Amino acid sequence: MKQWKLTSLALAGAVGLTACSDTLPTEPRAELHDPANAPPSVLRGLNGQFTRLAEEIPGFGGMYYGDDGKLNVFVAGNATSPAALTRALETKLRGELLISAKTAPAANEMVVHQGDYDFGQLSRWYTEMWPVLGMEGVVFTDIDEASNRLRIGVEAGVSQGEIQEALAGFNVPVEAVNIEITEPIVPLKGSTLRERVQPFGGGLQLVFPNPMPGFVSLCTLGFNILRDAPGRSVDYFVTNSHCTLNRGTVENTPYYQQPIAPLDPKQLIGIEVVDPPFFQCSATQVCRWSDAAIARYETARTPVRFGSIYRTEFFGTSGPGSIEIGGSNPNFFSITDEAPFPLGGEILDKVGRTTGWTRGPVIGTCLNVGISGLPNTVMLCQDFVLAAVGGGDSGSPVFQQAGDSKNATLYGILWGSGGNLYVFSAMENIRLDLGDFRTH
Amino acid sequence: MRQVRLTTFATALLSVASAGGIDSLGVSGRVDEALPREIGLVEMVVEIELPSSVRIGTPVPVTLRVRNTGTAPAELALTGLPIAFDIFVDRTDSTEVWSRLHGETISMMLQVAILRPGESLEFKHAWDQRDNDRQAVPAGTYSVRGSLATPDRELRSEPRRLVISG
Repeated sequence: MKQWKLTSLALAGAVGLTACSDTLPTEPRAELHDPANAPPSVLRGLNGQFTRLAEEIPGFGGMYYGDDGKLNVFVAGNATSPAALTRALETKLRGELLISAKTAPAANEMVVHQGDYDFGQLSRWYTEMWPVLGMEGVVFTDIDEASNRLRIGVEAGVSQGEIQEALAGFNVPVEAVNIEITEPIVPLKGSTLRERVQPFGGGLQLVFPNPMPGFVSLCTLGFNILRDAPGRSVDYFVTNSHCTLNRGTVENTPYYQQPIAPLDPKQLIGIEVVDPPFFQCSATQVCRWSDAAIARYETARTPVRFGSIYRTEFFGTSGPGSIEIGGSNPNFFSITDEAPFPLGGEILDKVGRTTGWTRGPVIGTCLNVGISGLPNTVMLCQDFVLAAVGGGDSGSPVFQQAGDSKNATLYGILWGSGGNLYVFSAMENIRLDLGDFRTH
Repeated sequence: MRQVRLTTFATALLSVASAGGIDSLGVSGRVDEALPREIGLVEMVVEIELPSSVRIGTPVPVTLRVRNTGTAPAELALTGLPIAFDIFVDRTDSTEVWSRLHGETISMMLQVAILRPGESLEFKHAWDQRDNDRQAVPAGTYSVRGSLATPDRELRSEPRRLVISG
């Protein structure tokens, strides 16, 4: 099951046709081959899967989902006829569970395009041209599944002639490479959790509209997730249900990453898509298991750092910790595991936009908690941690650092405070409310 | 599973009955896209208004007001959904009798508005003369003050004297 999810994640890179999953480190995958000869990301994830498919199905040139939801496939050369290739691909997709068996398209449902290059060839060239990424002004390199070409993103003003000259030096034909102008995708500015920072990861500030005229609201991005949409996986993030326009209903709350006001449509990063209603849990009370909602990342090129929480410079215990994230070279915690719920006495961490990274012991487990301002509303089985918290920390990921390492076990999402403690919803509760998703 | 206390407080912009009385929130500040981020003397002052004396058992109307008394627009960030304004009632020896947020679990969202010079936000609550244990308080003299939590500091009002007569 876990392997299926990993491969499903890999396929997701084709959906947005972005600089792709190359930039999204996850745990190593078993399908790596020739690792000694490859740059770190070339033969991993989607690229690795497609390269292997091209070895097994000669002429396979890549595939992607179109806007109509159909699977588009490139067929290159004459080694395999289009009909034979799609039949073989159908067998591979279902047999190896690249796509859920329920949603894998039949061969006759695939849209075939004549391609120029076998994916294995593209992969080899991609490996060869690796040093291009070190040239000044080069933002990304990619195997573009939607064009059957390689792709290089460069900042405005970069000489395409110099890029093409370099490609020639690596024996990569220039006609196989699309060069496009793009914005840098490294941290744009700022060095704290409260500024515009990319890639998107847990702990960053979220800005969103407030139902009260004249106000805007601030919360914290909890953690990124992948959900299995039909035939694909898409990037989402989790924050609090109360960090929406109205908790317990989906109102498509837009989320921005920007200074506090005014809200700038160009800075939109996501839209609320899941926020389950409260359910009747007694004659007079309504309940939920978690204060959690899901938002979908909106822009196709949103750089999302899956499985990652920003690691600030130091943690606080009785007081706030750091919100500094290291400028252009940020550090991250990597989510490597999940705990369904905490045990009393465990030491947990959180990273939030207001009080940063704080740490403290679990001092209460599985308490039913009322919410100030919401009569007859109960949060079931919540957990308390004795650590600093402040307004705006709602949505903070709660986790446990493994020793002094960068690895972290995810425990839940912070939503409330009562005095010197914070309250969080544990992962088991979040999953009860939000359904299946992957966090790492 | 244990259950911690469930309490009722008003939602912003509404007036509803609550365990501690009646709340409402008036807003006169706003986020204005055209506002320049001027550098000037920024001063947020919290004031509290209430009757100087009431009869025992009568709800005590309390208004908490935060005003930009500076010369430049200023950002005001307030904790909670709804905004977690607090009111403290103390005895003359400074021991606490009641506070609006006693035992409450506050949703830790931050709500931000920009107040122009002279603009203010108002928060209203009617204290039902019960202490933190929901017991009616005796006649006497009390001190009442208000508080607003911001990420950087707590904004407090000066205390006001309240006499409850039998």
